[in-house]
This record gives sequence, structure tokens and C-alpha cells, in this order.
Amino acid sequence: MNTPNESVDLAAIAAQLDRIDRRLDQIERRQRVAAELIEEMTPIATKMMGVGGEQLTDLENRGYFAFAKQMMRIVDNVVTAYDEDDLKQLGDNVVRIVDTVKNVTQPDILAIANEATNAIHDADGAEPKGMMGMLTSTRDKDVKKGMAVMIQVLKHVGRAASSMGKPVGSARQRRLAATLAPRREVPRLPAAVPQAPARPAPAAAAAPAAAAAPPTVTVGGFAMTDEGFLVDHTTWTEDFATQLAAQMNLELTEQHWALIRFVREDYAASGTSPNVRRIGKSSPVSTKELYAMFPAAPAIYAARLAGLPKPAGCI
Amino acid sequence: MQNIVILGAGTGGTMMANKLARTLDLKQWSITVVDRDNVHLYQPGLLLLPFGHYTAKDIVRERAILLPPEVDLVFGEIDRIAPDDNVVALQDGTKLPYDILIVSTGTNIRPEATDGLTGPGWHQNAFDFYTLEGAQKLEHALAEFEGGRVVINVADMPIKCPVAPLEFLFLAEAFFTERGIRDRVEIVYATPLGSAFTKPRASAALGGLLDERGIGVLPNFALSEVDTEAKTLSSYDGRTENYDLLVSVPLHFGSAAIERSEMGDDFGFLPTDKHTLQTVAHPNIFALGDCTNLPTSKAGSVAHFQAEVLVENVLRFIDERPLVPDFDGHANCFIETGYGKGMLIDFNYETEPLPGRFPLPGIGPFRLLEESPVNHWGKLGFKWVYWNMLVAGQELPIDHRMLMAGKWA
Repeated sequence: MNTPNESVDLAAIAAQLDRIDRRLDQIERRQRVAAELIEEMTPIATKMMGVGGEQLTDLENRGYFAFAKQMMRIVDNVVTAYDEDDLKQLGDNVVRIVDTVKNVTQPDILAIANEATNAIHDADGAEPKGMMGMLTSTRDKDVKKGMAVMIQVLKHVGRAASSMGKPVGSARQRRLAATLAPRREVPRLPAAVPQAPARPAPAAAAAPAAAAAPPTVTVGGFAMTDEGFLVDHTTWTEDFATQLAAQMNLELTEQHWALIRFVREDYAASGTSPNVRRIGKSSPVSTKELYAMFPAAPAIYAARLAGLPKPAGCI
Repeated sequence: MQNIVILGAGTGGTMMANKLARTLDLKQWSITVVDRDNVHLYQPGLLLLPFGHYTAKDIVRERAILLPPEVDLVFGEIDRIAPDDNVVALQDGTKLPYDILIVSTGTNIRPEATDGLTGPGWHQNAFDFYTLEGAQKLEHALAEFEGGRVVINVADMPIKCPVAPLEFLFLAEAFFTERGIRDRVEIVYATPLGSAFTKPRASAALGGLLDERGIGVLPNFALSEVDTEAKTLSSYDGRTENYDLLVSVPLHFGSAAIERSEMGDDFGFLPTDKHTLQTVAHPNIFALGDCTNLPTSKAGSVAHFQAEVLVENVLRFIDERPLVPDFDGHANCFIETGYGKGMLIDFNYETEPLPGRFPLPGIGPFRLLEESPVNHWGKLGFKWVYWNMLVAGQELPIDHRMLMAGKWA
């Protein structure tokens, strides 16, 4: 029979366990939610990576990344050429600058400029005029209007030029004067922006791995890489081995041929040329005999004579 | 009730167990995983442990926790596989019959296979970092090293993580520089290959890196023996080099169980189809990871990409549908280059590591065949991905095939 104290303790413990149980339930539910999210998102993420990858490949092929890299250089040049003060002045005057551009590009102004340009284009057709010719043209309505416009322009330019010479009162006018004053020398941007290549330029390679390298050494009509290996291992013949050996001042014995046969069979079966360890263990030639035949780098010589690619690791 | 038995609860086995437990009808199929111990080691961490970056606690977890509860985890040493009887026999007498067998027993170093390597100086002046014990002992040796000739040697190929020796060179160079004793240390790489970098693009991009950091290279060094008392290592062509500290990557072999079963090649690796991952000799036996004889790198990423193909092929095998030859030898490896930077390479059977951006063209964020801090952070961050996503059989948004997207041909 429980004492009253024990009963109270048990009840309290039971209640505590209940709370813990509910807590665990909550945690388990949340954990399940998180796990499900990961499971759901993974194939989606994989797909996104695939699509993202394709789009980015397209951008790369079209030269976007190489271009962006060159743009950084342009920005770099600009940033280094102009300093804070320059930019401050630019900021102070930007409204005036934009206003000027705005005025210059008003449709009617542009029309005038266009007309003037056309006239210059047609300059060929313009007959040279003497003094009398000039006088008669001033009677032309359009010429009279043009002269009036030019005189107005001259007036404004003259006024602005005069005010440059005077000592100016306000800071704003001083700044204006400084803006219109001759600039100090700034380094020009390079005349030609480096061309963004269609693809990033490949790194210089000693010899391409996959495709046949341009052969520079030949053995009796066989194409070789510039390291002295047969370009296409399927073109190997015993004659090749004999000729190559002769170039190495080497006469091929039965043992050499046994080695060559083993190496070729092994390559056909496994896709790689056997190394010293494998030759010593599995071929008719022991390691000692191998080094007697080729005192240095024997696996490489064996591969060469057997017309196989140069043995390589993964990197 | 049919049985799938998975040998090995490492990277490959754990991924397969998790993926199959989710895809198979567990009322029809039972999944059993066999391993000799409960210690799942994050092997990439072994590279950083000797330099004090990780401790054992950081890179070890219980295998049991990483496997799904629906899977039967059996501890024991495998005696042999009897493929004609479709049974795996353990050394304690247990017999595990299977309808489908997945071999994921990996590869291990056998330093004793090189004359003299495990002599009196083994783990005194000559170390491996491919085991937890070796890496820990090397950590002490490096911390106490005051100067002399450090030789990193690869006995011969294949090895797992073929870039690890290169990473060790870079990390060691940075380690001694940061300790201020770089001028008292000579670092040399003795490799059985013709050069440190054997692929044209990688060679062009990185060839100068070793020179710049004053790391010497001894190429075509086919290790014949080590004398740990005289502190020398010799190659078959008669060269003998002395060392003060030898960091050895010893000869690798496949599992002894495979050798006992007479199913492996001369070094105990399982002949496997390059693209379907079905073993060559037995249609109901599949293999993935380091235990195969496939001509691609032995690396965790390879096992990951293989697992995606293998799950599909196991399901097809069960349904008696043709297998898909979908594995292309894809490997993707981070390479530590020291000073907080790293590199990334992405390649497969046909294509050597190329420069570019991975995984997204132009954006990356990882740079291929180029040093960058982001690559280093990627390598460090990968540990979380490994424990929580990769071995859990969680799909990652990286295609199992190597893609040319982002690469600069």
C-alpha cells in the first residue's frame, strides 16, 4: 500500500512523464516536417541546379562571364582615374549637366542640328559663293532666320565667356568657373576595350589528353605525341615496336616481347597501362628482370614500346 | 523473404543500406550489413588530423547510428564468400545466405608488404596517415619535429585518395612555415609516377606550385625497401634516399576476405563492370567503392556517384530488367593547398580534370583547378554533409554523371 507521500510523488512523476511525452511528440512532429521538407526539396533543388546550370552554360558560351570580367577592368580604370573631388564636382553639377543634355536633345534643337548635319552632308552640292553671292543669300528667308539664331548663340556664349574672366562672388559661381576651366590631365581609357572572347581562353596545355596530339616525332610512318608515345594505340604493330626499339639502340628479346604482349593485353582488359607493381606481380617478367631490361621508369618504356598512352594518375 | 547482404558498413555500404531501406519493400526484402567493428571513420579527416586540425572525436562515429533501424547490423570478420552457394560465411561460423550481395569492403594499407617498412622505426620515424593510429602518431612526430628532411612517399598505385599525398605536401609546407622553421625543413615527394602532376591541364595549372614552395620531387621512384634504422628508402632502379621523417602511403590491397574467396585480382580487388557495377563473375553480386578494380580514383565521391547508379541497377536486377550502364567514372575531389586555400577537381573515365567553375557555370562557387578559399571552406564544410546527408543516402543536387557545364575545354 502506498503511503500518502509516495502517492503524491507518483502522481507528480506521472504528470511529468506526461509532459515529457507530449514534448517528445512535438519534437518528433517538427523533425518529421523538417525531414519531409528536405525530401521534397531535394529533387526540386536537383532540377533547379539542372536548369540553372543550362542557363548559366548558355550565358557562359555567349561570353557573359568573360565580358563581366572585362567590365570590371573598365570600372577599375575609371575608379582609379578619377578621384573623390572629381566625383564631388560631378555631383554638384550633375543637374546643370543633365539640363544641358536635356536642352540639347529637345526635339526642335535636334531638328536644327539635324538640318545642319544634312547641310554639311550636302556640302558637295553647294556651289562656292563669292561676295555678291553672299549678299544675295542674306535675302533668303531661311538664311536670315539662321543668321539671327547664330547671333543669339554668339551673344550667349560671349556673355558666359566674359563672366569667366571676372572674379566671381558666390561659391556656386566659383564652382561653375572651375567646371568650365580647362581640366587637368587624366589618363585616358584604353582606346580599345579588350574583346570579350566567346569562351574564356583555355589554359596553355602541354598536350591535350583526349584527342590526338599534333605529332612531332614519327617512327616509320606512325604518328607520335611529342613525348614519344603512339598517338593511336590501335595502329600498333610489331614493326612499330622494333623500329622504336632500334631508335633507342635496343634489340627486342623474347622477354621484351612477352612483356609487350602482357602490357597490351592488360590495357585492353582494364583500360590502363600496368604499373611496376602489376607487371612484377602478374606478368611473365619479374620486377628484377623488368629493371634489368629498363633500369629507369620501366613501366613507361613498356607502355611506349607497346604503343599505349603514357601511364598517368588521376591528376 | 529474400535477402540482400551488404559487406562493409563504410561509406559505400552505409549509403546503399540507407537507400535500399527506403526503396525496397521491406516485407519482401531483408537487408543485412556486415562489418568487423562499430567505428565509422571519416577518412578525409585523417589528412588534417596530423596537423592538429581534427581530433579522433571529430572524425569517428558509431556505424550503428548511421544505419537505418530496419537494417540488421552484424559484427564479425568475414571468412569467405561462396558465390556458388549464395552464402557469406563469417569467421564465427555464422552463415548469411543472400539473393543479392553488395560488396563494399574497401581497401586497406599493408605496410608489411614493403620490405623493412614495419621495422623498428615504424611509427617512430616512418608513419602512415591512412589509419587513425598512424595519423595520431604522426601528429606527435610533426609537433616535435625540429628540422631535417621530410619525405612523403607513395609505395605504388593504386591508393585511395590519390591526391592526399599532394595535399600532405602543401599542408606540411604551410605547417612548417607557420611554425617558423620552414628554412630548416626539406620537403620531398617520392612518387612512382613520372611526375607530381600527370595530366596536361592539371600540370599546366599547378605544375609551378611545388617549385614555388620549394618542394622537391623524385619521380619514377618505385619503392623496393625501407630501412627504418638507417632511415633510408630505396627504389628498384638503385636510388637510395635518406630521410629524417618518412610519411609513407604504403601498398594498398583489397579485403583479405575477397582474397580468401579467390574472387579478387592479384591485389584483392573485385573485377567489376565499369558502368553497371555488377561483378564480372557473378550476376547477383555487385560492388562499389574502393574494393573494385575499376580504373577510376578510389575516393568517397566515386562511391557516392556509384551508389546512385547501383540502387537503380539493384532494383532492375530484382525486376529482371536490363541494367543501365550509367556510371561514368565520375569523381569530385577537394584538394587542400595550405594557407586556407584549396582546389577542386571534377573528372571521369574519359575526361581529365579541367579548369572552370563548379557546380554552376560562371558562378561556381567552387573553382576547378584553381586555388581559392571557397574551395577550402567547401572541404571543411563537407564533413557535415558527409555525416548528415551523404552516408544517410540523401540525394545531393549534384548529377552522378560528370557534366561539362562550367568547364573550360
